Amino acid sequence: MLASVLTLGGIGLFAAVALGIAAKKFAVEVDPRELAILEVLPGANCGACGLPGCGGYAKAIVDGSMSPNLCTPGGTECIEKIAHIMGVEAISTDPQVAVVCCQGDNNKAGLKYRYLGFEDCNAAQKIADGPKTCPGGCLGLGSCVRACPFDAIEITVEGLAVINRQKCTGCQKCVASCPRSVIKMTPLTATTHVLCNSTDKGGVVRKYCQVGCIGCQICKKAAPESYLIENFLARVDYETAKDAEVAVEKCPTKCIRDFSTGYPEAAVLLRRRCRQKNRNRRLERMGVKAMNLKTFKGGLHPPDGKHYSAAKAIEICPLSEELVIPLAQHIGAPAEACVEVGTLVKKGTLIATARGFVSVPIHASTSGEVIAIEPRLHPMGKALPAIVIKPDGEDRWDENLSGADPDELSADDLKDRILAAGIVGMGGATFPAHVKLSPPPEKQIDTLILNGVECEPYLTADHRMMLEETERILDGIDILCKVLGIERAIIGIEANKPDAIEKMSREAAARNIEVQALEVKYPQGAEKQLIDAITGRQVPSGTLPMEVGVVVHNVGTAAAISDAIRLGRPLVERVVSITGPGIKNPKNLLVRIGTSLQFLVDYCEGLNGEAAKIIMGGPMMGQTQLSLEPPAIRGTSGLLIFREQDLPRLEAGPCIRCGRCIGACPIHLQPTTIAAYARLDLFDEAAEYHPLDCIECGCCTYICPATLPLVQSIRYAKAAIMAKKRTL
Amino acid sequence: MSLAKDFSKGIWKENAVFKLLLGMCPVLAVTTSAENGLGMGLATTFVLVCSNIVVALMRKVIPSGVRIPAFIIIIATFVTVVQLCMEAWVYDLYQALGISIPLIVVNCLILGRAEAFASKNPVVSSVADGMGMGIGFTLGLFILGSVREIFGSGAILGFNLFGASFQPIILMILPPGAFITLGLLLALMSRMSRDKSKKTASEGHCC
Amino acid sequence: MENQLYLSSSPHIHSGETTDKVMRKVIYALLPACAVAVYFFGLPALMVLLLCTLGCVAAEALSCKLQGRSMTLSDGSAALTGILLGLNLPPSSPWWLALFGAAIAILIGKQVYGGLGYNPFNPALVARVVLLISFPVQMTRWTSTAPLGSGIDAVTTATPLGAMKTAVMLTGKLPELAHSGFGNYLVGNMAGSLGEVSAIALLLGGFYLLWKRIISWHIPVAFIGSVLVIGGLFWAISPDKYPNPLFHLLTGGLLLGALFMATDMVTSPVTGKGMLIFGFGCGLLTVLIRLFGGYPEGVSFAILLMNAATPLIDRFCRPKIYGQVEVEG
Repeated sequence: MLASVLTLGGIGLFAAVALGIAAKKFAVEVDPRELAILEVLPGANCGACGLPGCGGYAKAIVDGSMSPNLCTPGGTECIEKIAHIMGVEAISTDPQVAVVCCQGDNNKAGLKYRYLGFEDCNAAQKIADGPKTCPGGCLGLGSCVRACPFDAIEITVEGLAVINRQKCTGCQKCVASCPRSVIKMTPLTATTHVLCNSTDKGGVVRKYCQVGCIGCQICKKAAPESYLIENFLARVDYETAKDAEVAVEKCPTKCIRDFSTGYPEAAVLLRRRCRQKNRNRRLERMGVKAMNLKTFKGGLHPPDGKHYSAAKAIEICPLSEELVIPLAQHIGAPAEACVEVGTLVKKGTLIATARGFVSVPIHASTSGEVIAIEPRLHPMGKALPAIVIKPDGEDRWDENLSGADPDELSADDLKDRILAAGIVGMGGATFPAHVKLSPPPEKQIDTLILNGVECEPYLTADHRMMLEETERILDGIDILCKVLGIERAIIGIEANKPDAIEKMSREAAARNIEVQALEVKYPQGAEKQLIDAITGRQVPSGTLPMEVGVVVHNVGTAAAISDAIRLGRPLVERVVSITGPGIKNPKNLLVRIGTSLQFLVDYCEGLNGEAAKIIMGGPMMGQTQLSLEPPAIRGTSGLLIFREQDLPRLEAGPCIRCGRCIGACPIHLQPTTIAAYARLDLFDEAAEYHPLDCIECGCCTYICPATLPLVQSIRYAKAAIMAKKRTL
Repeated sequence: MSLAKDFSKGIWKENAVFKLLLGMCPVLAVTTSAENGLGMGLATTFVLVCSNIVVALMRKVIPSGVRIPAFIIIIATFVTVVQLCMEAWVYDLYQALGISIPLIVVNCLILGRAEAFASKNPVVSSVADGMGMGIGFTLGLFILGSVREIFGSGAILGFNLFGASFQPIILMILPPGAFITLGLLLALMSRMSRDKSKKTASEGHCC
Repeated sequence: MENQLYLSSSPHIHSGETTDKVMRKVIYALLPACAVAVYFFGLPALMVLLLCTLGCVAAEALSCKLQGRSMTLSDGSAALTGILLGLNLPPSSPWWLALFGAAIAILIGKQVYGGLGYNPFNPALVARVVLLISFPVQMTRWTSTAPLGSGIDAVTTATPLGAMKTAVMLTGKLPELAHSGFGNYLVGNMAGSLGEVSAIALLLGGFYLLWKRIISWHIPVAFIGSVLVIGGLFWAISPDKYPNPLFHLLTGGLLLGALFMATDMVTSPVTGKGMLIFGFGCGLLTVLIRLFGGYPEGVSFAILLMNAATPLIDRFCRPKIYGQVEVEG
């Protein structure tokens, strides 16, 4: 017994002394208020305040970096105690919880288009500003659900987000995640809310939503202290509200709801037992139903589709009733209009000047009168400023335009004329040509590559150009060589265009221009892949081709440059392939910039059935359109119409890690990994896999057996990473 | 919180095995049979209650800087007592549990309750808390041990349930079986709680 | 809602090859091996295969219902897991063993992790190992072949690998069967689990998968190649104690493992380089377990261990991105 007493006693003594010394030596100064606050806080470490633990929050309050009223579980009692400890007035505020200010589910509100793609509101918003016609309404794709750490938000069967006010802790993460700012913070005790977020006029709102606020002000008349009307939208003034619920009965569209009598209807939530089952039903109601595409075997050789229009010679498309010429048709700053309504113009007259170095001027596509300068639907999916010209039928060139002999002009003169003609990359990228031709002096250019590859399925514009406008293209190449001061030019053409290869080789031989036939593979026509194939050089990540001494131009651009110099003609028309199984008579048309897509379709004898997708460009990288209203612009190489039966069946399943996307990616990225992080909003992790190098060619999505929206997810990650870079 | 609440929360709402997931080492290692689980649970309960009492009695006296060593000494003392008692009175169980008995000292349930509760609350509440937590822990061990014993040996508390033709699933009495069974039980418990909370949510208003 | 257009991110066409088509092709590739198994082991074999498949399908349906997810049966992965599991079991397996294994494979091997695409381990192998540990007696009761219609009764016997291990343990030397009978091994006339027999049927299936580009050559070549090389090395050192590489190739689960189990996309690396490392690791572990480990057959454990290493392999085997060069200056 003595032994145990002595042993334990001795160890205890030693430990006590050691700890005592350590406590003194390594003591950390802790503000006693912090400990006091920690005592008062509930200690649940729930994260409602935004910090992971109560300890951190106590520290932040004492630091002064956070306000004491963020602890929702603690309640007013806790806030008062903290205020007392800190010696300040208790900012006794009613805890705030979130509310989705929208009732427009799929039954009540209209859609602009049927969205196909990854289920995220921020991603859908990027495509023509979101599928809902109402610009402020809830999209119901669940970004807020994913953002909420407390499981307080659910999406109903009909596609509307609803927030459980008991579970909401007021952390505001959902508010940040909503692209339409439809979620607003309201006091917990307030029960009446205006559930609408649209600032459109009443008449407009009525067209697209049965339950939207029309700004009639009846609520304000019924309860003057409770409502504010601003921009045709009513909202409850929570500070001064008194008897706000009397307006609920009076509201003609029933957009004001009194939550104390039950909202949302509990039955709706209970039925929503299976998230995914209802997701499919919800998507079906949004109209997303597609049928099988014919199966296709093999790697990355998408079906050629060129047979529709490859044999059709270029036809001249007549002038339409009006030409809508947008100011934003190129990479860089949009041009600035330099004419007014009523100005008479001729074909080729300058109507908008370039703004800044990376920008080009815009010219009238025919002679006539400027009848309007106003926002018109742009191929990008929203209304953007455009100059509308009514042709006078005479189609006369502007007399001030004059051609010249390129041999007599200097390289700088040639560049100025190219800029003045508004030449941009005609392959679809629309990069200002004069910028490409002005590399900084330290970049030694030794090779000019002409892109005659046209790897996108269905498109045949460049093919026909090479067959029919060979001379103009080769002349353009000579001019380009002169501007760059080099001798070596190579034209790259895919092996599926043997007639073009043969013709170009024959004619180019005399001028010392090489023609290189290339393997038929998508995306052979992508700049980086083209350079690698022809010269074996790899363009370093984040740089331009000039870094490896190469400049690449489309064959169509070369032809346009020839016209610009020799004839003085600016870029006012281009060849467009109107093709696809949805067109009755596919053609290659020489189209004036500004001609509406509807006019082009009509000229091709109209649609071959119901159009389900309208694509400007090719099927791999083209942009879907809201309607046939937008005009053809300088970068429009093709118009593709697909019907319902031509669309692939897309039901995204889980990634099975098959690795095909990794094998197919021309930049050798790991698309599935980037996309997986993007879908979870983990952009820092996604950035480690270099998504900014992605050329968005679509190979990964094409080949994915799980039909995952890989390119869309990567685009989403790229946008978030770039936005973050800008704020740093 | 009232005494009744202090006691009852340890049985279900904050059950050590299925909700708090504290003291996992004995939970997985010792529950090869219901009897072992029960024995371990009762031993732990005894230590828990006793140490809670002493810690609560001395809570105003122990300086905050040395509270951890102080608690451990108190707990270790009681574990030694239990070990000696078990060796004397239930030798079979003592042998079956083996090294797990001295390891009760580092069972985080006991130190956790001492730190979170007994050092801040009076003796009677601490006793209620200790009993509740201990009984909850024992219950958890018993349930887990029973499931493993039924499927892994075809018996419960030593009584053969199924007869000679039953092929016991040997995996159940091995460590992987412990993890898998615990996982499935946790899923079951979680599902039961979720269903209960959904029911109460829908009955009220969602606002 | 009438006639509204679809808008989506590019691309707007798809190859048409979907997950369920991939799974279906793998099932077709396994049919020859199933047929041979049924031929050699009779109706019990058929019963095992059917019960495993149906059990897996039922388990997945039940799991989807319990988890509140939409049915994922249409992707065909449950049926595939069922067939693979069946091929891993001895022909004399009782019905409850097959069903229990099926439930484990789907519920613990796959669904618990989130379903298809999220499981780190091959589900059929997880089930096989669980069964091996849980029911060692039933899982090691092998019968000799009793071809359909031959009237022969099945007799309990040891597999060639089992016989080899016992002989080496007892006498330190290889038994006679390790030096001869390769013809039988090739065709499948030997004791073993349903899928271990018939190298020819398995190779047929494997070539079909390679042709259809469902699997790539990396894992099978690396796995089988390393077994042959390492096995050959040991055989060269001591032909009495270590069997020749052909024995390794034709007996046991190597072909089934290398062609169908290790190549499971979800649990193997995504890049070619990673797959080669993975295959090599599997081969090395297989030989070591067969020659020096406690179990006669090492393929299942080797594959499961390498499955655990897959995330690590993926991390270090990222493809070299185009344009990732140091810019001058």
